[in-house]
Amino acid sequence: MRREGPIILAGMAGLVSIISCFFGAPGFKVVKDELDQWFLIATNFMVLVGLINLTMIHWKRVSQKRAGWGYSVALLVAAYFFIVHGLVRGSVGDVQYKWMYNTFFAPMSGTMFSLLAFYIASAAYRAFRIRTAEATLLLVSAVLVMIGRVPIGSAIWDKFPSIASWIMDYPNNAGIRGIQLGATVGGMATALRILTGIERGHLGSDV
Amino acid sequence: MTFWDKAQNVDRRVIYTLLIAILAYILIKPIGLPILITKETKAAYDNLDKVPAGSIVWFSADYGATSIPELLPAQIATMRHAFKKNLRVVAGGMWNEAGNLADMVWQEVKKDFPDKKYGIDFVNVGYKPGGAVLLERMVNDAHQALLGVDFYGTNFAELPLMSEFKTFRDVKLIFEFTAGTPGEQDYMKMVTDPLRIPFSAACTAVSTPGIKPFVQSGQMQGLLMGMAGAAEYELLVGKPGTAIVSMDAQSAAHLLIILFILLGNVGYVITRKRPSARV
Amino acid sequence: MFVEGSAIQIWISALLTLAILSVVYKDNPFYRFAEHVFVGCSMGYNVVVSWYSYGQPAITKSIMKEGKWLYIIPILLGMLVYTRYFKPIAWLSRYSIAFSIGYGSAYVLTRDTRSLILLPIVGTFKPLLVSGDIWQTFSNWVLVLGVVCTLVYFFFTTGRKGALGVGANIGKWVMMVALGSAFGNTVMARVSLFVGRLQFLLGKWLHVIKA
Repeated sequence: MRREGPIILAGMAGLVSIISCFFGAPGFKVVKDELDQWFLIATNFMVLVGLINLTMIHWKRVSQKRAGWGYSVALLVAAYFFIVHGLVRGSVGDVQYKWMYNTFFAPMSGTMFSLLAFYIASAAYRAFRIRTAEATLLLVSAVLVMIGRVPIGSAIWDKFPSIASWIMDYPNNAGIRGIQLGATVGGMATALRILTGIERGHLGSDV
Repeated sequence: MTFWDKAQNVDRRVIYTLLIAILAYILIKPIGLPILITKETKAAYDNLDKVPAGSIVWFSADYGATSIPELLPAQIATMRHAFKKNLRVVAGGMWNEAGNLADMVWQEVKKDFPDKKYGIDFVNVGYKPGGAVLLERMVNDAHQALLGVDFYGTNFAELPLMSEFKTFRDVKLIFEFTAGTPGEQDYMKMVTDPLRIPFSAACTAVSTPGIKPFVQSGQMQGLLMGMAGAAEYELLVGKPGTAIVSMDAQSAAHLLIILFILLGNVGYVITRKRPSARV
Repeated sequence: MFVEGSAIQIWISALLTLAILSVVYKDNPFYRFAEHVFVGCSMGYNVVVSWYSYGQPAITKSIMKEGKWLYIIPILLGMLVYTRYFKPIAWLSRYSIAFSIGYGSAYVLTRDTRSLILLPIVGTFKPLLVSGDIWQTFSNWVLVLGVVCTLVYFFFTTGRKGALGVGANIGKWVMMVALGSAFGNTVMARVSLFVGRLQFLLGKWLHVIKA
């Protein structure tokens, strides 16, 4: 049951969904609707895994007073304060909890990702070299899209926006669609492998 | 080291300083460059515009605070458009922050539409987990899928709008604000392609190349591409917001980055052609 | 104190923003502190949102009020994942993972075909001769040939000889253009994020621009 049980469960759960898709028998639909609801509930109750892992790692750092343990204290205080405050307030839509989100979480979240603006500017300058014909084409395409998608493009030359639009509509669509088709077929093959029990990596290394 | 050698090795702090300085300057003293409306933005606008008054539309906030500069202005502009058309909006999403973001939009837009009431013209159901499975469930029984409570903990029974929104089949248009997965592909697979519900979206610029093929295939009618798309929609709706104001700075940043790329490459070409010194 | 747009809210947000931006110069304690607080807030917020969005309604509404006692089964199934922290019974966590991944995989098999394969392929069928419009004809050829050749590029089971070799080469060029446009859009996205934060600092905090 340690190995076969989970594989059988995965296959059976998937089979119900597949059968109800192809056979419209009322009984199957009721079972499938119920299983959909079970899926939503079950996945929701798994959310604490991240919190537990984070707590274990950082508590160890604090208790062993490793380098930077003060930051771990800040992390744990922030995490559990947000949780306790939310549970006390009774709703995520509570005025105070929304204030906490707008004051702490949203600005920091936005700023963390805004750092990428600097890194991409620096990386583009340093790494983008026209060493080969392919790299040159990539660079030309990137520059044309960058200049065509912003107002200054049309101010410099009124054809820039339509060039950028054409690149996005035709070569971009062609390349990306080809990649997406291939990725979708690959994803379906992987899904089939999971349902038939051939793919077991998600269950651990000893399955 | 010649000038062209130095041109390929400008200190990153110089780039960062220039980027901050130029962006700040342009934000303080905007140029006012005209913004062109793309056909994708116009298509999304027209898609929402032709929904009959009184209909229910579903706005899905599938993004996080990281994408606020690009997608929140789009969501605000589309909500303004929806309220101008007397549409009734139910907002939710598959990402954690969907409820907070929809709430931000509501708090902003209701200032201009004081007659719009929560529970009658707008409901925020917040985030619900499950991605594609959630959408599948909502096609058949939205109340059950959403467990009958909104973002603020209010039961659907107390919200008159929700008595008319039982499944996605009651919705006349889906407008998604997407920054990744789960996102537009889940809507197309579960809802809009099977039920043929009109579907438009606003996406981050980074997602644009991956989503544009679906616009080309007709699976989506219209797309607001990044902050530029949001600025265009603000222009169409007639209420400038943060996106329009940011476009000049965006232009300046692009120009700066392009100039640095060109500088580095000109330096590369020149130094590459230089005959090597003989010992 | 908990008023939206209050001075204390703006000052806290601004200081945290500057603390994180300071890493652009170099790593420093303010950044490390803000980074750790952000991770903590993020985790705490996720837990609370998950609880109120589905956890609490499932228990108080569906089970206790509506009498759907069968929902205890998925709750227990979901909570089995926490047995991974106890070595003797850690194998039970495989059931949680197997159910969610198996169920999700079925959706991939049954739903992807129409929206991600058939309809995109139908969208690729463009007229290869548009009378009176040479540019549109050329563009349609770029689209159709581009899709086919990109797919050919990923044929690894045959050698790249003859027509397949030419096709793969064309596919490579098409992908270079596509990836270039992807890069251009990525630059646009990243810059937008910083412009947003700068707007906040200059507008709401320093009142140098209209917020």
